Amino acid sequence: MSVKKQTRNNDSLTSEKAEIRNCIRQYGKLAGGIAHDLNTIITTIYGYSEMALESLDESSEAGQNIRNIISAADRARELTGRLMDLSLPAGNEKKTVRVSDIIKETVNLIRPSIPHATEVAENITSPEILVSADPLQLFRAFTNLAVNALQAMETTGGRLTITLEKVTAGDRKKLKAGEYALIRFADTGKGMDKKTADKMFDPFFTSRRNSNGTGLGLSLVYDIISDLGGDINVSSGVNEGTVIDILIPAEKGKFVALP
Amino acid sequence: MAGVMVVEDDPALRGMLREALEKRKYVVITAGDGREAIAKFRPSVVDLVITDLLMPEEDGLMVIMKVKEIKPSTRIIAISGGGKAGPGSYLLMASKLGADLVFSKPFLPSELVQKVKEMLDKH
Repeated sequence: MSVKKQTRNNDSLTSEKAEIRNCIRQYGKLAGGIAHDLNTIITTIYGYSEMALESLDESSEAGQNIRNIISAADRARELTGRLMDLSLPAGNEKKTVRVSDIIKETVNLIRPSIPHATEVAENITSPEILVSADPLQLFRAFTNLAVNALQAMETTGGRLTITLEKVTAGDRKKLKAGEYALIRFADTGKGMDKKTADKMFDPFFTSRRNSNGTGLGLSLVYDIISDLGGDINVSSGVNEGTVIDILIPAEKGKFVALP
Repeated sequence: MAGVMVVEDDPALRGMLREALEKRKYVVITAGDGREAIAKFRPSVVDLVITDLLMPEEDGLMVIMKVKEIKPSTRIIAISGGGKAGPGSYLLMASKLGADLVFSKPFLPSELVQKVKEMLDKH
């Protein structure tokens, strides 16, 4: 294949991927709205079921039927959780935020689920670095990457190190020259081959076929970081762990303290 | 008996919460949106407000701010189906504005009612 033809094929593949991403984003919005309304309905089902159980014998047939309704509502709750995962968090405005604050929130959230023989370390050399982002979306992206890293170490244990430093990048394909926040998620887990690493941010791609994953989590991470004018680089090898570098343009000015 | 205001735009959930609270002998006032809530708020009657956050016609964040302004001792529980909590989320903003407790839908109403009891017993 000539170089020219290959470039054209690559371009059309990129635009096809962009179209798929855009479609997923629209469906994600719809899914988030539906999940929001369903959560309200499920709460009502729980409430009336609980009230019904109070007024009858739980071991009776009617009592058992109400228990079955509650179990069905539990399953619906799981589904709405998965629908929520398809959608980007409700669009708050971009704010100037301190990346180190978001990393701390991420570590606080994942701490209870850190498996035995696994540790999480923070290596923050530029705690003051600011970026312009929706804090909830950034938190979602970081949480997704941290949870993925923990899952890659769940059988072997290991160490996840989250690094934050300020770097200067020159002009390149996706990035303008300037200062960037570099956020690195480095784990010592099972790693992946090049083919998997190349596809890991593609929509619907998942390496965990038997899980309940939609294959959209990392695709959303990619979208969130791209929207900020940033970039993601992955380096990994089988049984060699994975390093994911996120670059986000640095901001100057006053930052908004997180609640 | 203590008074509880329920602010929720979904009529079925609003009705269910009213019933669950009235069973526990609370005086319950309901409103379908923030504007109605402020119009119906009576400091001498309401000790605790349960408010949804995303509603048409003045949202729950405004309800929290106004109620705290009118009667700062009012206990507030914010409820929302708008996704998981996290920095910048509505539920965290509600906490920052003065909500004593937040519940993410779907939740078990029995747990909410239990919290109402605990908060009003301490009152």
